[in-house]
Amino acid sequence: MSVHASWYLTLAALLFTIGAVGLLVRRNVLVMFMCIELMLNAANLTFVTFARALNDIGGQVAVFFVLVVAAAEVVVGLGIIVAIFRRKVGATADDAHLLKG
Amino acid sequence: MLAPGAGPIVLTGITTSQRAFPYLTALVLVPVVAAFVVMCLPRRSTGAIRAAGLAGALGVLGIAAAVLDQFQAGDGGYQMVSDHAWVAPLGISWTLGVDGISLFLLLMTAVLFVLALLGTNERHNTKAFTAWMLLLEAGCVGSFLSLDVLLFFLFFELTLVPTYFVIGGWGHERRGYAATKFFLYTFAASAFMLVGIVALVFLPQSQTGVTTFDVRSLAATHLSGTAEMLLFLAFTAAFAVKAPIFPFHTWSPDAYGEAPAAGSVILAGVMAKLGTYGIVRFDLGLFPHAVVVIAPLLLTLGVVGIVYGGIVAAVQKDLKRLVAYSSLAHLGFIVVGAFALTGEALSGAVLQMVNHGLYTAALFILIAMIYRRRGTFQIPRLRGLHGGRFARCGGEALRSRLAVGPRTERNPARLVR
Amino acid sequence: MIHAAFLIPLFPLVGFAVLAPFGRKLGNPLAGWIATLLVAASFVVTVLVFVALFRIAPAHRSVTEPWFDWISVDRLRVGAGLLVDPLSLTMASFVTGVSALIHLYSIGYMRHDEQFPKFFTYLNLFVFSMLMLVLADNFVLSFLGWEGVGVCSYFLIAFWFDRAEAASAGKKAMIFNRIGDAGFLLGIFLVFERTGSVQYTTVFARLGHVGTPSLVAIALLLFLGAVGKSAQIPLFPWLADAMAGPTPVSALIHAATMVTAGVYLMCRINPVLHLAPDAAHVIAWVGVATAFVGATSACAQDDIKKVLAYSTVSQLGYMFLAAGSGAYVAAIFLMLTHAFYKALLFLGAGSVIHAMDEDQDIKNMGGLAKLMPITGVTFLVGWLSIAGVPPFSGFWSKGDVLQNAWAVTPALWAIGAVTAALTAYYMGREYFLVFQGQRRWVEARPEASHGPEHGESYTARGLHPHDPTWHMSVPLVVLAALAVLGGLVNLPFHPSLVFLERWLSPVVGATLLQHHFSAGAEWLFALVDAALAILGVAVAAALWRKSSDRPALEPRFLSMAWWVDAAEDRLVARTGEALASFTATVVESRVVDGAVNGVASLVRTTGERLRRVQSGYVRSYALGLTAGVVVLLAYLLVRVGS
Repeated sequence: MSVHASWYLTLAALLFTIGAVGLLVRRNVLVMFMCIELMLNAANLTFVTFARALNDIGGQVAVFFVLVVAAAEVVVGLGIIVAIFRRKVGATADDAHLLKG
Repeated sequence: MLAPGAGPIVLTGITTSQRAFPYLTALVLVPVVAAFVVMCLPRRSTGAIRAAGLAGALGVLGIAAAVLDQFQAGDGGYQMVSDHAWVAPLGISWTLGVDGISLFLLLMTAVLFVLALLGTNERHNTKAFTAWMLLLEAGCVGSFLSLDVLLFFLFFELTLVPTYFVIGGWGHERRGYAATKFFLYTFAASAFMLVGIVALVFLPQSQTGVTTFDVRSLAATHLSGTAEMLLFLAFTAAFAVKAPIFPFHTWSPDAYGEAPAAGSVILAGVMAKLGTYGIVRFDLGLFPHAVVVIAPLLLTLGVVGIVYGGIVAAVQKDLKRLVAYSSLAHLGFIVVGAFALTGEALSGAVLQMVNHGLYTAALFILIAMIYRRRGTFQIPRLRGLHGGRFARCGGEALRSRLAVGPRTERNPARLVR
Repeated sequence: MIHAAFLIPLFPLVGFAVLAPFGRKLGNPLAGWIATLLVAASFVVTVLVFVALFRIAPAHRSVTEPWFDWISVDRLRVGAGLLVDPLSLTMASFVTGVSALIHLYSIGYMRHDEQFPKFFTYLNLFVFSMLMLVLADNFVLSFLGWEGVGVCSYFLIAFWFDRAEAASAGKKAMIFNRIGDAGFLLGIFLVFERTGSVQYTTVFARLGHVGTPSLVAIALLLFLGAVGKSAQIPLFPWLADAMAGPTPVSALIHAATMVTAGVYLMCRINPVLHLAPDAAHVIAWVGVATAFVGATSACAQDDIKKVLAYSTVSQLGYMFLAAGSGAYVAAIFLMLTHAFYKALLFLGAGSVIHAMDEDQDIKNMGGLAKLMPITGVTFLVGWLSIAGVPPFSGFWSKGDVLQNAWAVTPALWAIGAVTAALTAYYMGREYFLVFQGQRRWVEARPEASHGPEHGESYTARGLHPHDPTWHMSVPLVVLAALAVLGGLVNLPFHPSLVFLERWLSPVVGATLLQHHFSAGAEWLFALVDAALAILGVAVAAALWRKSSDRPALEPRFLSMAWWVDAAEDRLVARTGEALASFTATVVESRVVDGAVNGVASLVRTTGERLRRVQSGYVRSYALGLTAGVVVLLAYLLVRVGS
């Protein structure tokens, strides 16, 4: 392989961190979703890298599962967000605090 | 009562006279059946409900009398044992048996429930009240008769729920507080006992490989010193709150004071004895070495309870709370008798259990009569009651002053201002 | 015939059992007659048993009649049964005899009372308890009777329960008695601990094995019981207050029977006292001190019954002086004669109170002797007896006590002698103020009605004093005769005349103080006794026959009985109450219950704090998740790395 696996892993780690920080810091719900997608795809990249490095097809199979789950999650999540936006137009993540104990 | 993998209840052999009538199981089931009957009656027919309730209580009394008749004095072990496996893999069984100690407590319970149901009259929602009282009776009777430790625990806890409802539903002004305090305090304390029970069963099990909850087998197991002491403390935590022993007694003035008349009768007369009975049967029976070590502490607590109960009772203005604190004092005698560790003292303790049940019940019924006529429990507002009712007032005063046994009680607090 | 002894306590018990449920129906006066006849029957049986016992040789005059095994647990074996011996029968005879007379008297005295049947119910129960006390064959059964008389005295003192001072007096009597009872109980426990039995005969046989300190402790603890029951220092204030009860009650319980239970106990345990002379000395000194305090207090009382109450305290002191001196026969002799003349005095006082329309203040009386001849003469007899004027019974009995006191130490005799003179004086004061001198009350006009006008004081209404009905007069006369002749029981002139001493010797003979005075010394004692009595009589006559107002002779210190009651109230009762209030309000509510409620509030505040974790913000949950993952990863990396 021309590019060593560690570069891919580093990239994946960076992407994951960006996604995590973005999730924690941003208030816009859609941006939070995008960050979640970023984290999921970072994980995908890691899986594929290891699949190639260890010559194991299992990693690529895992990616399929993750993609399906991500898609389902987006569907449900966007549905919830639309419901929240219908109530209040400029809603952020902080506005959904009805479950406060 | 099906346990996974155990199949339906297996009727194993009954260990005394062949094909004998299962008196003890009947004693527990009759009030449950009566409660069920009461629940089926229409709410309006208070007469029928009271009749059904009384019939249940009288049924228990009748069977208890039969047990007394059949009992062989002088035979040291348990008699009329009913033994059916329940959760066989865990060694839990439906084991009921009676011996000298439980026999008289059983009779006292039967008599007191009849008196409680007869002598008091709850007009509001009689149906639920009678049903709860009958379930309470089943719980109390079962506790006194259980030879299986977990079954004992089950009945012990089972008495808490009806009592909570009786106090909370038919009590006086602060009934909510009193009921909750009673329930939570005794329940929390018996949580310790549950841990103790499990440890008690599974500690020897790792040595002998046999899992059994039967108190007769458990009494024979060998425990290390620390284990025995810790288990003793766990069990005694529950009994100390139930009895009550100073300083775990503060639920009782509230509970006795706010409970309705029948509730107070049973609370003071029967349920307090569950704690002391537990001490005698389980503490003294299962943990003899720990008892010897810790006896001085419990004797001290008992004596403190006697004096403290008397002192605090002396300044009470509420009749029911006065009796509650004097009960603390009298139960202190039972504790002292149990932990003095001599035959005479133990006999005295058991005798005092029965005596105290009877005269405290009499006192609470009399107080209820006073309340019905004067509308107050406050002593400063009661004057000149003595006329006309000699037979009961004088009888009670005589009975409570002249109760003499191997340990004559003296109550410096029996004052009515 | 001795086997019929069980009937003695049985008759009054039957009376109680019948009158308690049916007394109201039987009514007035049938309930009274049933009670009286049953006690009289008891007396008859006692006399018959007495005669039967007399026929047995002195050495064997101790018969145990066992009934049943009462308590039988391990080493503790308490039976229920009777001990028929000279001491218990002597007690039983005057208890039943005097009780029967008082029952008869009560039929007249309580005639107008609505609760007539209840009175007799209690009286019978009382007599039963007292008989159980004196006839029992073991300490525990005696204690049953002891407690029984205590309870009955509560019922009877507080009989007029709607009167505040009566209710309070009943309570006071019960509480003071209870303090003594604690001592009695501890004494019984110690007896059992040291001798292994509670039966009198067994215990006394085993005393040799018990060490002296234990014997002294036993004696003093049992004496504490006697102090409570027999109103000695410091537990005597209840007896004066107890005069709030009906006069027959005062006569029965506080003169003739219940208070003598303590003296009986001391005589019964004479083997113990014999082996514990230190305890006996304490008893003698407490007795003589009480005698003095009681007598001085009686000198300043204005209530006709309170004079008699303090007099009783004083006379009981004499009895303990005798018991503590080892002169048990003298104690019983005095008890016997005291029963006669004190009951007589009380019943006479009752007659006067009836005549004075319930006024009990002697300062409002006077000149009654001519109007109430029977009462006056019998009261005079009672006075002369208690004063110790020869040849009345008191002279002989008190003489015996004083003589034996000298044998222990002359100091005891001296205090006793002064008290004897005081006794003659204060009773004389009472006699003259009530029966002689000017009439300090208003006589009713013949046409005036007898009933009280609403709102009028009794002095304004006008009184019509006269002797009472035969129910009340007959006992007065009988008791007066006994007070006169009672001395015949134990005349010291010749050994053949000391009947009582010979009769009681099987029980107390071994431990009697053996001090023989020469005949000359005995005559000297007698002369001094007579002189003291006549001195007291003369002083009383001189001071009180003409005048009724001498405040200098009635200082508050004496009329308040040396302030003992007030002191005990302040030192013991008030501090006790303060301590109890403190315990109930501070310790119980704040500390003990506070701990329980504190646990509950701790749980609540912890919950409130923990609640803040649930902020409702998705981002903080996400932060939590992330932080948790980081920690886990770090942990795993460290684990894998090492």
